[in-house]
Amino acid sequence: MLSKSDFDLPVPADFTDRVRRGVRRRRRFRAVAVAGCVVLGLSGISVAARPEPDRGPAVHAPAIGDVAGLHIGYAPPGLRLDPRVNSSVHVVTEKGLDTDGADPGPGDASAVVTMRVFVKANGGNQLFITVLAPFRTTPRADRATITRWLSDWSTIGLEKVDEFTVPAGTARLMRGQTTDGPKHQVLITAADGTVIDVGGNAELTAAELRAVAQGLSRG
Amino acid sequence: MRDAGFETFLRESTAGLLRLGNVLTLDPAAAEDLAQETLIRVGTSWSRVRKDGNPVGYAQRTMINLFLNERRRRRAIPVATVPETAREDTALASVESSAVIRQILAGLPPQQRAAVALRYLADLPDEEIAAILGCTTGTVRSHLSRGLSTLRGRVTKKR
Repeated sequence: MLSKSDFDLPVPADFTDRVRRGVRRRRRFRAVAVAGCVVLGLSGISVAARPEPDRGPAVHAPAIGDVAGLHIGYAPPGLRLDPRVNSSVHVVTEKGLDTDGADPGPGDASAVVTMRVFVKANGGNQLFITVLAPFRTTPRADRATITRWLSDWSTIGLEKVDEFTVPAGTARLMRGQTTDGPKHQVLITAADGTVIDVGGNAELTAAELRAVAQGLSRG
Repeated sequence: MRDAGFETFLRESTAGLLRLGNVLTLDPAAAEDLAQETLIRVGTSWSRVRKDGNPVGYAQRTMINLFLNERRRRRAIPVATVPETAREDTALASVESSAVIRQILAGLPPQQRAAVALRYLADLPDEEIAAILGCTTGTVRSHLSRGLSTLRGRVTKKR
C-alpha cells in the first residue's frame, strides 16, 4: 500500500550547497557567540586584589535580578543589570566545557550555561555571573563528575586563597597571576552540583566579588 | 566543511531524508525545508553525531522532532477532506492511489503519521521508532495499528 517511490522527490541542484552554506553560517555564528561568552567570562576573572573591607549585601536584600533560578541580591553601586540573558547548552568532558560551537549529540554529557552581565553607565561590561548547571548525564559522567569537570575547567591556572559559605553553596576565592597583577574570581559550588562563577573586570575588588557571591540565593 | 564524512553522508542521505520529509509534511516544498534544516543541524553537530556511530538515526530523530515541534506550535492539525463519491474507474483509481494515500496520511495525527513513515519508509524496528518518538514500544505498535487500519479502511472505501 505504501510505496517508497511514491514519495521520492528529486534532489534540487543547489540543495547540498544550501546545506553547506547553512552549516558554515551556523558554525560561525556559534563560534562568535561562544567566543564572546568566553571573553566576557575570562575578563571577569581579572580583578585586582586590594585590601578593602567586605561590603556585604543586606541579608534580605530584595532581588535585583535573576540568573538560572538564583536571585541576585547585591551588585556594586553604579552597575545596571543588562536585561539580556545568555543561555546555551554545551558538551562537557574531562577537559571542561566544549566551546567549539557544536550541539551536544546523543551520549554526550552536557551543561546549561546561563550568564547575566552588569554594565556601567557608559555601557561597559563590569560584573559577570555565570551559572553552569549539569544537564545530561551519561554512564561515564554522572552529575558529580560533570560538576567536577566544570569546576576544574573554571579554575584552570588559579589558586584557592579562601573558602567560605554563602547562601547558594560553598564558595572559593580564587587568584591567578597575570602581567596586570593578581586576578580573582569567586566560584560557588551549589548542593545540586551547579557551579556559579562570579567575576568582574579590574575595577571591581575581590571584596566586592565576595559580596556579590553572598547575595546570590535560591528563590 | 570540517569533515569529509559529512559530505559523504550528505550525498548518501539527502534523497532518503527528502522522502521521509515528504511523507511527514505531504508538501514537497515543506519537505525540502525540513530536510535542509535537519541536515544543517546534523552538519553543525557532526563531530558528535559521528562519534555516536548512527548518523542516519540521528538525522531521522532530528527530522521527526522538528516536524512534531512545528506541528505542536501550529496546534491546529489540518485534516484532508475525503471525497465521498466512489471511484468507478479502477484504472483511474490505480493511477491516483498515491494521491489518495497522501490524502489519507494527511488525516492521521502527526505521531501516527511519523510512526507509519518510520516503519514503512525508513524500515525502523519498534524500539528505534519508540526512541525517536519518545514513547513506549506498545504506543508505537498502537500508532502503527491504528494508522494502518485507517489507511486500509479508507483506501478500501475509496475503491
